[in-house]
Amino acid sequence: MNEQSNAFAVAQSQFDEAAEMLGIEPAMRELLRWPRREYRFTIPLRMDDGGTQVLHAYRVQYNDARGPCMGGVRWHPDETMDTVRALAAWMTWKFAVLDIPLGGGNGGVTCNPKKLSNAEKERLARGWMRVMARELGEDRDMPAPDMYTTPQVMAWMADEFETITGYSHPAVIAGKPPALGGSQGRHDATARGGVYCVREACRTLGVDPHGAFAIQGFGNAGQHVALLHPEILGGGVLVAVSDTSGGVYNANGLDPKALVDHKLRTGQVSGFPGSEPITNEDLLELDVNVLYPAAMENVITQSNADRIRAKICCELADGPSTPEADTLLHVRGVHVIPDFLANAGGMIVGYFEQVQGKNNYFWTLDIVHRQLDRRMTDAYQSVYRLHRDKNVPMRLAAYLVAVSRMAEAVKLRGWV
Amino acid sequence: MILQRNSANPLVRDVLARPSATDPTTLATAIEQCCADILKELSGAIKIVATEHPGAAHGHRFYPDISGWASSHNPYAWSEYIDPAAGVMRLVLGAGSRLSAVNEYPRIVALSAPDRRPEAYFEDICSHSQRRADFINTKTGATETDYVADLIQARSLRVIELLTSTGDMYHPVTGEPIRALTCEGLLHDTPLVHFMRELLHRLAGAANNSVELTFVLQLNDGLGAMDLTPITLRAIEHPIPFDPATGKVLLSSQGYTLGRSRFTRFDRLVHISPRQYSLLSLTNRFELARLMGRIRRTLGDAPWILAGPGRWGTSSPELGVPVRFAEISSVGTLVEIAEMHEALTPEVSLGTHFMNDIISHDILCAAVLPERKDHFVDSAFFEQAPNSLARFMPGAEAWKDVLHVLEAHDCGGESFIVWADAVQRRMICAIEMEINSR
Repeated sequence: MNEQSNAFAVAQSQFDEAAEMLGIEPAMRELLRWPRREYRFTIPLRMDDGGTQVLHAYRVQYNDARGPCMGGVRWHPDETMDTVRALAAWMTWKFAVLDIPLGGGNGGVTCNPKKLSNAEKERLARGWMRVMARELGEDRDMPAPDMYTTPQVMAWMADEFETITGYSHPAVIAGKPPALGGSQGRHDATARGGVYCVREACRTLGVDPHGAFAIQGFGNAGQHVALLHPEILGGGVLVAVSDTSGGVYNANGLDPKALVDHKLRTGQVSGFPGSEPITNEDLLELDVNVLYPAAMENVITQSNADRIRAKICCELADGPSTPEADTLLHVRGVHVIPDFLANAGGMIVGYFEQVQGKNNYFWTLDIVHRQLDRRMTDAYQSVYRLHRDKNVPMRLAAYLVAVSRMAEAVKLRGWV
Repeated sequence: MILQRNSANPLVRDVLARPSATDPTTLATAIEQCCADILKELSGAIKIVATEHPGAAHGHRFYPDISGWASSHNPYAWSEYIDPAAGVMRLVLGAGSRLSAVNEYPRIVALSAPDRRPEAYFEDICSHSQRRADFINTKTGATETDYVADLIQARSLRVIELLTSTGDMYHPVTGEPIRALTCEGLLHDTPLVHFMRELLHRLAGAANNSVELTFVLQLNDGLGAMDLTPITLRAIEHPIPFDPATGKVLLSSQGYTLGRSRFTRFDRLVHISPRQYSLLSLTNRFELARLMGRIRRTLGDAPWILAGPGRWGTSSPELGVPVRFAEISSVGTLVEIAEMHEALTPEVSLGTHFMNDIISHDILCAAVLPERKDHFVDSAFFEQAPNSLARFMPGAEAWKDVLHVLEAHDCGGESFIVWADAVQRRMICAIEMEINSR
């Protein structure tokens, strides 16, 4: 595999860049470049037809200097130790930039979950937990949902963990259904966290919060952004939205509630009354105050970055901008709130679930929102300060904040 | 007197011999006789009825509760845990015209594994469930279309529970659970799957051939039986064998196809070089996927063949090209080549990342595993054929080594052809040479 197509190599190279800029000493650099603990094991999975498949599984606890590890468990055909390492590293940096007292972890199983029946999925979830249970705990490592591991899968894992240990542990698994101790506020957490960042960016940069905004992608996150942006910023005109069916535009504004209702009834935004069609590409280039790419990777590239006219670009999708485009946007003065920070709301609510579970006391939705607001606001401001002081792109600033916080924790513990 | 299944065979064969001349009563009688013993076992849970205009009025809307298509051979066996010989059903709310509507998503049910779905999340299930239903306006007599959500809310709780499901999705404004038309209750709480599987098996046995049945189901709003009205029954025609003299074979696959049998001509074929793709960075793999979307718009709606490494539509570019369906929606044939580089041969997906779209658009999916017997890819042809990429996408020349846009005429051919036999699960893609050069 060439270097740039190996996810862990990419993660290490991003770390190296930040470590170089921060002048981190070699031993610290070596420690933070690698996971502290790795588990590799097999799970014999009994299939519905009576046969058995032996699946390869993983868990990485990347670094727990700042607190116990937390991170997803992915079920994916291409899961390897390197993808798990990379995701665990990114979780570590994300928790650090959010200043949450957790370390990063990740795990997975190499399998194709689309080919598994519900009964097979349950046996797989319980099988994974049977091997890993002794290495997990609310003060050690907490699995969370990730690719193809739904709240139901987390519920099976939680039940298996409690069966093995013999008593209740509501804090060990994040992303459970609310009936089993899942936190309120998970459904809109990603969107809400992004909009809190945008509110802070408007305040900091002097951008009119009542101006136009556009959303590319109208799935769960996009729909919630349409509703939350005017609510949290006290205004704002939604002028364009797109999904896979195409886009809709109205310079005078689209009614977010009516548009969400239209999407849920018809399955698409196209054909929304009172709108005209717009392509995904044209939407990205609209003259708006805020642009939310919430659909897919690499939609802003070096071929269109010079035509992006938004003042703020809030990356709710993972990786909507290429590295080259990121540099161009920075040079042109487009304020990018990187995915690293912008879409971290779900992770924070996962942390809240652990906090609530440990106390066996569950917060109201209002408390979740206020706590999320505080965390996102503080994180945005700390990244912004570094971005301003060092004149580096926001994405790099976020890495610098994260790595310096990790290095500080390691140093204080006397590990290096 | 109830006839046993063997004595029903002549009537079934008679219907199959003259499908268009069969009246509803004869067809219903043939079906009823074919499965009389099962119907008896079911104690009236399913009744076969002959009705000229099946359905019921709900306000000014007249429509059948469910229209269905079933086949004794499942051409959409996307998992090794699905037995193609057990058959398949597609179900829609309302009139059957929605069964073949592009961009509509009937509920597809593998009769050997009704629980297996290609969607992993309830959000995906919602995105790929039927949205619109057709009905007759009893005031005007015209066929009209309305949203499923509007039709279903006027029905009884029992019908709603038989036809829809909720999951972990909630309306962002009201907080109410979102319902999707999944037919889960119909599949799990009624004997429909068992009955249809056995019926198709017997019909195919009588015909000595795979058969297709269209039908309508009426659900009683109370706790009663459901009425099944057969509409058409016909034997599935097999494609004529592929003639090697037709042209030069470029790709072939055995045992890895998804979609019905066909013989189709195309003017264009787009090929992603597996070897070159494996050299791209992760970022460039995503960028290539976005470029595919621009090419799709440039090529327009005329169908084309798309062949490339690994799993089309994966979210992991290590496994294949991470396109969204909208970026390739006009393809007619989609080929996954299980070849990337020495360290990794990606598992093929047979289009499962967007299977509902593939069925809705009647796209043929095939996987070519070059190391296996009866599989073939002419890599040299794809690497050496004249590449029209620059003509279609000025400015995209940098991608010419990895992305090949081939036009049959530029390659010395008349057209690209795709031949597929769904029962044998065999696919051949060839370039049909111009008549003078044959």
